[in-house]
This record gives sequence, C-alpha cells and structure tokens, in this order.
Amino acid sequence: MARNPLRDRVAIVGIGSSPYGRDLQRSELSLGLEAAVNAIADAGIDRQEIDGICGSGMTSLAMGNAGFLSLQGALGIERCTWGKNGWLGSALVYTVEAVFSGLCDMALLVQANVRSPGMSRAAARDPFRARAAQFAGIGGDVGLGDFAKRWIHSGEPYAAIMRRYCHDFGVNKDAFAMLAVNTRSYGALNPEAVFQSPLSLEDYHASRMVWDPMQVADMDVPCDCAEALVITTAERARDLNVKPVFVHAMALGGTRIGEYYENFAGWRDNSFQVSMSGLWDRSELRLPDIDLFYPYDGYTMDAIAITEAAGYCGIGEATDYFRTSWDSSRNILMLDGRVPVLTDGGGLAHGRAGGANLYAEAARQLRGNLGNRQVPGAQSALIGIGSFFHDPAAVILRA
Amino acid sequence: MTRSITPDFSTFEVPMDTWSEPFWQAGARGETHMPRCLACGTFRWPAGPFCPECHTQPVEWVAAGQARLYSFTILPVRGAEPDAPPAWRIPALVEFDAAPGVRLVSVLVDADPAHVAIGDRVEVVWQPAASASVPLFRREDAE
Ligand SMILES: [Zn+2]
Repeated sequence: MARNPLRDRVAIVGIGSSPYGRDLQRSELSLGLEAAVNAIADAGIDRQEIDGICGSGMTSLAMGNAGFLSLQGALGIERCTWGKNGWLGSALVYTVEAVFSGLCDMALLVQANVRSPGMSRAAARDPFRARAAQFAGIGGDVGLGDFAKRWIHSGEPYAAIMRRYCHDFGVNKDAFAMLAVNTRSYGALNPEAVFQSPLSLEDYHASRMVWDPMQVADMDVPCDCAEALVITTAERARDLNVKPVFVHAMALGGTRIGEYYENFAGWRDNSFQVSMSGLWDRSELRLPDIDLFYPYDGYTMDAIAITEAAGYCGIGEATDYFRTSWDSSRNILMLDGRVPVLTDGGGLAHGRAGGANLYAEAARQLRGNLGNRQVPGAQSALIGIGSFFHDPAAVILRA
Repeated sequence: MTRSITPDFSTFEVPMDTWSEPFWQAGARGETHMPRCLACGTFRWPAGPFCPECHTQPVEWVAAGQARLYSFTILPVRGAEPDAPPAWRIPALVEFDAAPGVRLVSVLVDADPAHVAIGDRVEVVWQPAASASVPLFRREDAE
C-alpha cells in the first residue's frame, strides 16, 4: 500500500461547460471563459475567492489561448498563488495537488478544445484554424524533427498498436465496435453531444476506414468545447451550498519507453497499466466498490487498454468480457452486469474534450439529478484518462 | 494493382547528433547498423548518450540483421484530382533479428496493401533526403 494522505481531502464543488459543437467559430479562451463562469456560478462562490488556476495546454507555463494567465486576466481574478496549464488526465491531478499542498485553496480548472487542422479535414480547410501547413509535411505533431519519432499523426502509431492488439490476442474488432456503439447510445441521451444519433454494430464495421485497421468510428469527434471545475478543500466544501464530490485517490503513470511511441514494449508496460496500478496501491476501494467507469476514448484502443488496466478483465480479454457485458436491449456495456461506461457519450459521441468531459460527467453523476442518463445511486467513479505514452491519470471520485 | 507510395523526402533535413550520426553514415553505405551497449549488450534506440539498462556511455555499431514488420497502418492518400486513382501510404514499425528491442518508424513502399502482414520480411531501401538518405522498407518478395 502506497501513501495517500490526500484521500477525500479535496473536493469538486463547481462544474461548468460550454456548448459542444463541430464549428462554433469561437476561440479557446471564449469557450474556456464560458465554462469557467458557469462553474463559478455553480459553486456559488465569489470569483475573488479563486486563488489558483489550471489552464489548458501541454506546456505548463504557456500564455495565450485558454492558459491560466489569460483566464485569470479575462475573469478579473485579483490574486492567484498558484497557476499552471495541463491537459488530458493530468490537469485534474495537478489542480488537486495544488489545493492539497496548500498553494491555493480554491482552484479553477479549465480545459478548452477547438478542432485543429490535424484532427479533421473540415478544420484543415477552415481559415479560422490557420495551422494546416505544419501537418502537410513529414514532420508532424509527434516527435517533431526527430526521425526516430517520425509519425505524421498520433493516429498512425495507435492504428499500428490496434493492429498489433488484434494480432497478439487473435481477436477481431468486436470489442472496439461495442465500445463505440456504447458511447453513441449515451450520446443520444446527452443534449450536448455532438453525435445524437445512435450507431449499430453494423454501422461501426461499415464506417470509413481511416488508418487501417482504425475506422472513423474508432476516433473521438473533433469539436469546439470547454469544461471547467472548481476544486477546493473538503473543509471549505462543507460550507458551500453544493454537494461535494471528493477526490479519493489518484495517480499518474510513466514508463521507461518515455515518449518514443515505437518502443511500445507490450501490453504490460504502458502508462495505463502504471497509472491504474498506482491508483489501486493508494485506495482501499476495489472494482466491486466502483459504480461508474470512464475510460478515455480518444481512440477506442485507449478505452479498451484502460478497461484491461483497471482490472475488469485480463490483458487481451476485453473482447470476451465486453460480449458478456453487452446489454443488447439498450446497446450499452454494463460491466459485471452493473457498471455503465462513458455515460456522457465519451469523446466518441459527446465530443473531443481531452477527457475533461469525463471528469465533469463523473462529478455530475455523483451529485445526482442528471435527468434521463442519471445512474441511480451512483456513489463512486473510476476514471482513466490519457494516452499509452503520456499524461495518463487514474482517479477515483466519490460522493 | 496500385502499390503504396514513396513519400517525397527531398527537402527533409535529417536531424542528427554525435550519438546518431553513425546510423546515417552506415546508411550512406546502404547498411543498417544499430548501437549496442559495450558494457551490457543492450541495444539503444533512439541513439543517445546513456544506456537505459546500465547507464554506460560507449556503444558499438553492429549490423541490425533481417528486418520484419512489427505492425503497420494503411491510409489512403488523396490525389490532387478528384478522379485520381486510389493510392496508399503505409507507415510501418520495423524490427530487426540481430538488434532485439529496436523498432524503427518507417514507411513500407511499393507494397500491395491487400498483401501485407505482421511478421513479413522486409528489406531496407535508402531514399535520398536533403541531408542524408532515410531508411524505407519494401517486402522482400515484392517484384
Ligand atoms: Zn548497458
């Protein structure tokens, strides 16, 4: 058992979102501000109580867009004793660290996303996202100029890994299909979801092939959106007029392959495995105690690997496990017959929010009153967000 | 049958440093060499100053041996004209029999996308780039 002094000592007390849309013609900052204003109002706090901000971005100190400094200025927040940017799973972990350590007491976490030219053809044609040129060459967004990391798009190594998964475990794409169909079934229940229409297993297999064997239905849907959370101490949360959602345990996960996608060392040596085992080392809870499951679905391959890393089934066993977990009357997964998965529709249907949608949805479910997609009596949520190689987080939230 | 494309590397500046330069020098001779730790024998790729296994610095460069496909993906390449014939690019991960643990990101060229499989034996094709030649691969039985 590892140390976990922060257990249930930090809480989410405000949740706010922007609309989700394929092309809202808005900047990252505009979307982030809308989510932030909503989260602050939801928490019922004076904005001047905010003294720490985690903004959006891979670079921790970058300015502009929806970075922490831009947010502070635009929101008129007088003083912050902590600030940083983060993304994917790690952003929430950084923010909770800051509150727990005492560098701030009332933190605002904002994650804004806009479609980038590298993520959709429509965006590549859109002068509003004028960065298309950098993706046209052979450099690309992964590895920059290092020849050894010469992938043009992160979809390529993921597609190669997906092919290797099917090869190593002798499976077809049924598990990938069930995961994708599950999210679209929930998208139909989420008025903010980019994809409101359900998908059938047949539709999945008929969807456009992008990076063979990866199909368009395996990839989250690029969109413009933002999510924001207000995070504070458990003590301060008790004085607020909202039901707090507590951070029970969390872990990041790095491996010795570093950032070199191609050195992917097999199914046990990846960030999902490290972050999930780090989480279980820090919690007395076990899977039977978990009511909701949110595996990041930037690619279906991520969600399947996170499901296996969480321990719902063995490595390579998701296909059989999903078959026994499939509720064919609703076209959703019910793990162990009772745990729903990605109840907002995930990135595949709700939209590409870099996992911030999953933190927000989990917190909303644990508060309750989420309308027709509320999971009755949900008390705990397991969340895994990140990539095989970087910025993974495993988090347990509880009511 | 349309075969997979050979990307244009003519303007690609190959980045290299003290530790990776021997790879490109061997490539100029048409050979694929990989760095092996002098102390513990672990292959180190990408090339770098310290062995991740034992933290020793010196390496010897040895022939990587038979290359095989670890995995790959196939993506359609859209031509400039709407009615251009279909074309594909095949990013590939290549392993080497004599350099265990090393994987090279590359492109499988001149391949029929319908007849490519994990484990296929492939051979290097050094393609001229701006400042060096880059290693691409083709299936050994491709005619
Ligand atoms: Zn060594």
